[in-house]
Amino acid sequence: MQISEPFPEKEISFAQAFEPRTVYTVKKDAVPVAGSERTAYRRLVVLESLGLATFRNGRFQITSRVSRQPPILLKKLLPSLIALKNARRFGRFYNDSDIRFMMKHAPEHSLVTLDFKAWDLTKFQTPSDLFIYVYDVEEFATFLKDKGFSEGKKGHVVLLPKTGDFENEIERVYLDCIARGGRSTLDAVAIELLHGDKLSVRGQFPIETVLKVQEDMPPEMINIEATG
Amino acid sequence: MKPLVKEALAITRELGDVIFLGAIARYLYTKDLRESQDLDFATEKPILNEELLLLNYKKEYRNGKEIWYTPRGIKIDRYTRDVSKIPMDRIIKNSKYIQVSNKGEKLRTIGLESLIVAKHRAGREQDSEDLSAVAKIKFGEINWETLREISGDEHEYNQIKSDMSYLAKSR
Repeated sequence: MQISEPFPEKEISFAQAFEPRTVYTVKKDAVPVAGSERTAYRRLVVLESLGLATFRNGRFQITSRVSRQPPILLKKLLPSLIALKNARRFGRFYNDSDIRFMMKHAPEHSLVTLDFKAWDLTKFQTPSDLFIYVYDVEEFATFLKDKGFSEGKKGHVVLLPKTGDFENEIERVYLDCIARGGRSTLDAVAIELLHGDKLSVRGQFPIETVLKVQEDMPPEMINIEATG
Repeated sequence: MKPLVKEALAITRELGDVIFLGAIARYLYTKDLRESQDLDFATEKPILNEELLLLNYKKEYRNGKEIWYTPRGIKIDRYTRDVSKIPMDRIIKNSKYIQVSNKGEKLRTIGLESLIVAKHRAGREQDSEDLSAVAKIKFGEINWETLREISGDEHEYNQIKSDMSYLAKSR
């Protein structure tokens, strides 16, 4: 799906209809919502193209609770969702040396996001993967391969195509965290708590998630928030 | 060694044979971790606040809630009765020791089957991600009979088995 395509309202409404659960079945859960099996699969195909669902053998997963966000935020999330869907992962030694190499050779105008940037901003969760936006993914992928990196599922260097708005860097990182979901949602909450004044839109998060982040935030970061 | 693993070893030396839960348990099983600055653990017997203060653990209040920190400033959460409604006697019985260093140092952690049941019950977004990581790496090591006993509910057991099977094969 391209950013210029219409916002997938029906699919998002479909995804919003499910109570939080790990895995759902198409027949029992999706058909009553979609009206028919065919429509259910059509919705799932669109959601999968945005990285919001996976499905296989009559079962599916809503992979991120992104769909629970308000419509104004969902529209802003599309570039992040599409970038993550087109992410390419690379590894050479599959340890921190891969990250160090990438940091040293990051192309001009690239932008680090998610784990490492969230750590810079919040000190809430230590980073694992280096997600980096680059203008020309193919060109940089070739460079990495020339340097001995392999493309696959386990590497810690992740290239993202630089699409959408990057004017407000903190907001883009915040949106990327929401779009990725999982533990990155905790980063999004931490960014909102510490840098809320830099955000023009706000996500909706379960209250227990917000309280958990508030409680687990390192005391020195809370002090930064209080003083400044 | 990951800083949080070092911290868990220090806690074990100070407080005894505690059973680690949460994100560090996921790390011990999958070797994949984004550490937040907190450690959750269960204890067979309650540890008194006075004992913690004597060991230089510190108490603070945040959002009106009492929060404890280790002498090195890491937040801790103690569980003494149950973990996601799994009774403590089952948590203890199903716990295991995992070696974390070449020197033979070990940490006691919640059993794989208890971890899966607890995370499945919690059902938060980060729990689904943790279950997915565990399913991909440890699916073949799950003792389903033990998991059935820990769950104590046939419907939940079937749901977990089917969900883990799906997650194990997901991309």
